Amino acid sequence: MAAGLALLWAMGVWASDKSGVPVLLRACFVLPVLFYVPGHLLLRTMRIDLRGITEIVYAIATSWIILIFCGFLLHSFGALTDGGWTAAVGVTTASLALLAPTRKRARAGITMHVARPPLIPVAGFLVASLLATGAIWLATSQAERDHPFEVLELWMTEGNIPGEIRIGIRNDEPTERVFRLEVRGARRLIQTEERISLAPHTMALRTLNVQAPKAGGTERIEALLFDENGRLARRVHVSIKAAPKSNATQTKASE
Amino acid sequence: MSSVAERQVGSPSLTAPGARGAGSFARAWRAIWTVIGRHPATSCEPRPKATNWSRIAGAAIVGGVCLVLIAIAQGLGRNGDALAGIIFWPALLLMACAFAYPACLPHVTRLERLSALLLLGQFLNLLKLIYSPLAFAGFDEYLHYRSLLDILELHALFASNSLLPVSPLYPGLELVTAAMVSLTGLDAFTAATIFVALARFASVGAYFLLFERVSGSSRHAAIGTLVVMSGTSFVSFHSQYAYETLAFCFFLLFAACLLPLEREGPSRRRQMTVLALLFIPAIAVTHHLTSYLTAATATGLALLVWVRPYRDQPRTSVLLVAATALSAPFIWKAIVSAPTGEYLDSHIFTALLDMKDLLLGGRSGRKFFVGVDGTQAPVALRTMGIVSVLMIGAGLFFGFFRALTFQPPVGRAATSTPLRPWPSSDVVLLSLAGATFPATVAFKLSGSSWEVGNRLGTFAMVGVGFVCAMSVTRFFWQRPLRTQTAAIGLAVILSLMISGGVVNGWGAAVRSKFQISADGQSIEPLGIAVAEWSREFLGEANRIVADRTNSILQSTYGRQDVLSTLNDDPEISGLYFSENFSFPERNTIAGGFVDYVLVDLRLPAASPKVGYYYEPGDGDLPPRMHSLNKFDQQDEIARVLDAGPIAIYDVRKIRH
Repeated sequence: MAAGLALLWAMGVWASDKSGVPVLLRACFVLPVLFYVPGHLLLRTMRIDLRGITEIVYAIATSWIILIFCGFLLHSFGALTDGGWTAAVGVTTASLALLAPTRKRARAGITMHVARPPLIPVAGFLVASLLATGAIWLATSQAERDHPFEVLELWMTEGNIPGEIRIGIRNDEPTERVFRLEVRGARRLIQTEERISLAPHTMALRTLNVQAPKAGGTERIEALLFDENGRLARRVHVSIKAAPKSNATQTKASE
Repeated sequence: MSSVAERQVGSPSLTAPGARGAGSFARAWRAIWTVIGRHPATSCEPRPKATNWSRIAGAAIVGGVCLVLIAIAQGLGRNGDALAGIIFWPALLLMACAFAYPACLPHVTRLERLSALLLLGQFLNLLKLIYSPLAFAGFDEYLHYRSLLDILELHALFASNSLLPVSPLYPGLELVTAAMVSLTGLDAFTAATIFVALARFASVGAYFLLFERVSGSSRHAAIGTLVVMSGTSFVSFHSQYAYETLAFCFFLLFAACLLPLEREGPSRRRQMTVLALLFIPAIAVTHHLTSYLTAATATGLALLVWVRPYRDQPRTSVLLVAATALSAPFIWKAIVSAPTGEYLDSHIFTALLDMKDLLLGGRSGRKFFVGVDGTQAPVALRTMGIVSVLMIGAGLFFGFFRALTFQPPVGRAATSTPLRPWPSSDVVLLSLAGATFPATVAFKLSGSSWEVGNRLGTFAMVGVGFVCAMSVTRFFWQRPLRTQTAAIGLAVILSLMISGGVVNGWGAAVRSKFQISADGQSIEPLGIAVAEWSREFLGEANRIVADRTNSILQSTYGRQDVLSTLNDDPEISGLYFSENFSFPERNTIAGGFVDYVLVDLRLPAASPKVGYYYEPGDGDLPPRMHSLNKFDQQDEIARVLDAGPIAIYDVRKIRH
């Protein structure tokens, strides 16, 4: 019965992965089993009699030990993947469930007295949990707002073809920005783009083919990014070798 | 290991050797023994009343309010408001006090104490989450985050981690987290946060169970656990996502199985021996130092048990455990060819040499409560830090001999516990561990041996907790002191010790504005964005050099191979500090097969908070701005990224 449940659980984990169940639900479904049941079954298999908090703590720790050794096993088979983990944990738990001796059932006629949880403390713990959650939410929102430096990137890299350069601009600020881009060679202006408007968290990519003036020589190509006020915001440069084609041509632009 | 009944423990009439003699010497000795070694004749453990859940719920509400205040304080700290510290520290003190009070009251049930401790453990753990709720904060966390990412993305173990080459060779922590990530779909940071919270739960439970099993008293266990929480490692170091967090939790559970073995019956001894044996390989594959100290603990206990001249000692069991514990780290080291010897030896030898210099007066010691940048902690914090250590010292003074002569509760197996040559081997071992605490503090006097003192101090604190609790329950907690006021006083002292432990172990617990080389305070969206850009546009596994903070971001978010002297790469700080770009710099780039150089122009603005900018020993003077800009003058070097304060240079043409 327990072994069947373990296999069913493993199949549930696999199915939830494939069917796109929300992560939070998956975590609620997986974690209590993953971090308790294997260890609990191992303790029972080894006939180690623990009770209460001692049992919980040792079951958690032995579950970790099982996971560690499952990991080594998966590595040796080259199967350290999501599917490998699901299979390993499912099979191990089912095997332990088969091996673990069944616990003696309570004698018929003896009912366990379960005290009704006192309302005021339960409400108190609920309030405490809400306060703790609120503190974390507050800290998270503060951290998200904490941007001590402007996240604006300008980059330029050489392409695969000689003379090809790729330029990118990314605006990771929460506001829309407008820029002017200049690409210069040695004593020449290769290209100017007067207005590049970037919405928050977007980027613009440009690809240019540039030839150095002398055959076989190199030229430093510089890209300059000016902000809305005409101030130089970012500057990058690369030195390129001569390309077969002349004239600067914009081959691709994407935003 | 079922619940231990509250009972009268301790020998009521232990006298010091020679104390029976007449004369002034005997009287003086008796007086001294009364202070340092006499056990009270009356019961120290009043009968508990029913569990008062309202008291724990009340403490939880106070703790929750304090967490909100702490979150507000951290928000103010992010804006550079001086009010942050004024709110943070009293809130922390109040939170610790709210839980310490029910945990160490005399008439309280085991469940109530344990609940208070587990909740306090979790609330202290949340301090770190509130400090950094979106990303890892500690330098060490990023080293293990890299190893975790390697397992998740490469689907294999033992990938290279240049920043901490031994980390992938001890993958216990990362395997557990990888299982979580793979089966739940959680992101690595959330999975690690949940895992650390669980590890904290298990550790607090393990401390309590260990002390309870050894002392037979839940109150002793609760006070001991609270004293342990005042250690420098508890709140900060052991709430990190790092391999020692898991290994130390395993160690505590191992110790809780092994130490009280002497007093168990045959069946129980077998069960606990099997359980202890289970933990040894897990520790061996999780953390090197913990596995060596586990071996030392098992060997120490085996020696004590073997030497103690009584017939029903569990000699075979402890010998088996000791032999396994001794061989496991070396077997694992041989399997994975771990360079732990070099890694640990260099740290330990440097620490010992530094200590020797310090003792011989050749070098000045580390200034306590003064940052590397010269900023001094406020008087109140310094006082809390000093009080914490002094209280531990007082606890050791009044508790050490009491612990050595403490007669533990008689287990089911033995009908009588012999008193000579020592009442119990586990208690002796714990007392001796506690006695090493002053040595670990001495290690912290020096800058380079501080780390060794901090690591060993964690293990010493296990003994300290037991011994200090002994001083409270056997010396200070005599009949006149058993009042409500005294209980509040004890809770206040313990909470002061816990807060002092936070001051001593995590000086920058209150956030501030961005700081240079300050780990959690230096990690901000721009550095992460640059690292992510590297991965996206430069590709993975390029060899890159960067400063301390950007190196961990490039290694994890950027998935680059960062050069590090730990990985036998050449030293790179000269690349940044030299004024010109000449042959030595070219040699560094060629010799280190460097692809990219990351330059952070914020570094010249301030001193590094943790002592260095790029590599240990370079933090005396900041790099000059024109030294950092020298890469722009070279035609062979391309400035491929400009992100404002951070730029990345492509230096591959230098090598060709």
